[in-house]
Amino acid sequence: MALITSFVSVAISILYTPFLLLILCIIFLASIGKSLGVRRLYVNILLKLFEYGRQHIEVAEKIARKDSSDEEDEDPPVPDDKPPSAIIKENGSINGTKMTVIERHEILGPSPELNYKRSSSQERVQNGHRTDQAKGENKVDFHLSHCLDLVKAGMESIIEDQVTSVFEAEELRSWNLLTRTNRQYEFLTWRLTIIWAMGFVVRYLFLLPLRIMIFIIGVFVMIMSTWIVSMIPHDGLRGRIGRISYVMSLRILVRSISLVATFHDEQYSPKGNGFCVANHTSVIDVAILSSNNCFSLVWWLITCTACVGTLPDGKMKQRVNYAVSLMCFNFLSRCISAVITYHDTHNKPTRGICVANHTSPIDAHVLMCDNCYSLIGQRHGGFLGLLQRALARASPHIWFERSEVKDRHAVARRLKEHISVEDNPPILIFPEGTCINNTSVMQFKKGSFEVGGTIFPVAIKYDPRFGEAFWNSSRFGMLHYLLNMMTSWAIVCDVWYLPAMTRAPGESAVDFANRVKAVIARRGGLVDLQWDGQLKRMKAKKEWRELQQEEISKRIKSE
Amino acid sequence: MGNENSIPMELCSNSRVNCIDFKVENFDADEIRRLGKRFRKLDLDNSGALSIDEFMSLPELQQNPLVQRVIDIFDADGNGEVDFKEFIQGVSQFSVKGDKLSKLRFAFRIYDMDNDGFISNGELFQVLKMMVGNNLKDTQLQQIVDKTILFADKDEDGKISFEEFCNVVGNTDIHKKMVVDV
Repeated sequence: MALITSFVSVAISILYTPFLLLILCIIFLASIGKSLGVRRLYVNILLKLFEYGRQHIEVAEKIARKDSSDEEDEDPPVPDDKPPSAIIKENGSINGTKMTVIERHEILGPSPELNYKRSSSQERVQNGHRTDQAKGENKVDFHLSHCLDLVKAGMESIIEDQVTSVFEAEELRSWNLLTRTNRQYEFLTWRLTIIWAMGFVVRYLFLLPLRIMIFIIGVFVMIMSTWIVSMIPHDGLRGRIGRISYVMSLRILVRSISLVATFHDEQYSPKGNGFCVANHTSVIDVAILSSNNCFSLVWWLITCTACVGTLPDGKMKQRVNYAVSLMCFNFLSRCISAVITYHDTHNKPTRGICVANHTSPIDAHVLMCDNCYSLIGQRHGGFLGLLQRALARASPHIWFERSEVKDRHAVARRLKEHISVEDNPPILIFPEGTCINNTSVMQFKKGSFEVGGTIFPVAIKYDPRFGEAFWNSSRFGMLHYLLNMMTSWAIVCDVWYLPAMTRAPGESAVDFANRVKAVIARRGGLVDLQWDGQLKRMKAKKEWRELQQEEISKRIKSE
Repeated sequence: MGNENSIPMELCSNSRVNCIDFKVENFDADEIRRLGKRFRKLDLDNSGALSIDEFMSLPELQQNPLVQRVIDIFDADGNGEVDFKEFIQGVSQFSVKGDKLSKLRFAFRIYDMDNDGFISNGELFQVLKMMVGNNLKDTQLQQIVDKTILFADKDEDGKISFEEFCNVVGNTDIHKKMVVDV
């Protein structure tokens, strides 16, 4: 025991200096906004490593299969004994993740649009039957094979259903050398085990402390710089210095999580902050994140929002806000080694409503590394409430009680008010209302589409090979999730800004929501689902079955 | 499609209708493993068997009017739960490699609620009622049932046997409609 402690202390004393130097180096680089391309390199090396691991596993499995198939010739296969989840699905496609196992023909596709029925014409087209039920009332024609579609639909969902699978972490094609994605693999072959162990050491003993350190330092720098800036008297100089300091510490923060952000088509991105206007932003998710994660960040947030709050309203305040918040969120993203690629930045929302698909609590954070948004969310009490008030001091956010229906109208009204003000930042909304596992998009709640105004769709797609960004809230607690994120290889994600959309005349909010959803799904390579995301928590409604029955009876009548 | 890997008779002693058609070689080892994983996921209480409630935890199944019948067919020994063998056997009938006869059997069993080898007037009525709910009047339903049986019932015993069922349904593209890629 004494030996170990002495060994550890020696190791610490040796590693202390390079570690510190590394941190300083990262911070310096971040503050001048340069990147050595280390993170990209890191990501590429990881990819090669995974590929090596995959080949290795496949070989090992082949050998194992050969052995077992010799025995299996005599006795019938006993599938129950097979190790669970040691599956590498080959029918994956994008990013090496599987999309669906079953190819569905939407015969009686799930269309439980009970909260808002899809326009009946659409349904009829989908199911391919005509509308002569008025006179078809008497001439009914039933065929014994009418049940087959239903049976098949049932069978499909028994084998693989679309709803519950999107609430679970995606399956990977190859093992990404994290224990949590597979508990079998590290004992597959010796070489892999060694690689895994090395990875473990790197992630927990190097990356994690490094990230935490940089995180804390970045927060500290921010606090200091915002404090200094607040001393400077009000004029153009203050704004400029403030901006520089914000951007600088922001970049440090980004470094701390080895974020790799690529901006495409940057020449189109809105020139000048005054236009892209922003207020302090953070989605409630981020608030949760920071509140659990690091008290100092929260403290900083409160401080800086307080500082900003003292500034007079106007362009200056917005500009400062913009810089502060960008910095803050970039900093945070460094803590998790986020590698974010932004596509088509010329479509970046400037004002109006921004909708995105929702995978994890860091979604908002990812988006806010590049732009400022107003947030809309549930009002919380206690500590979170404090945070929300702090945020609201600096910029217009909308907090409401989700359970109150009456409040919903009020929220819609406030949304309208918000977007009617020219200078307000875009509101960030996740219309799915819950986290989906990065493979699909679920039903969009129509509320945010009823308000009118321009909608800026944003598609976010994480690369699960480097770390699972999806928060399976029923399985992990917040802290566990954060630890997972901090000890993953990195968070790599793509962000696509899509062209702004407006509601066509005569188009219902529902149709519009579906249209936006389809666009996001197509761009992000996600599966477009009709299901309501609330199924994660609630039971399906009985009416849906009745809807299906209605569908069948229509079919019987009209054929 | 050899018979060497058929499940031994004693495993499905209670279901005389389906026994012959169960062949595990419809799946390779990988598919079985995948299904095993799915089974474990559905088996919420880890009892080694799926109860109706566990099936019903899937929202997509809840909305399927015929889910009760499908689960009944899965449950070959009629003990109210579906164990892994029954699960595999049930799914295997929807395999691409599954033959047409076993698919027809499955479709027949949807209507043949008491598993006596015949679709009676009452059974057809009940299944139809499940399918359409309250969207058709009972008298209308009864008309449909009578008509369907009259049409299919060649030996005029008032019920539909499996052969008669095959005559009616067999020429539809059943092997396309009852295929699910595992």
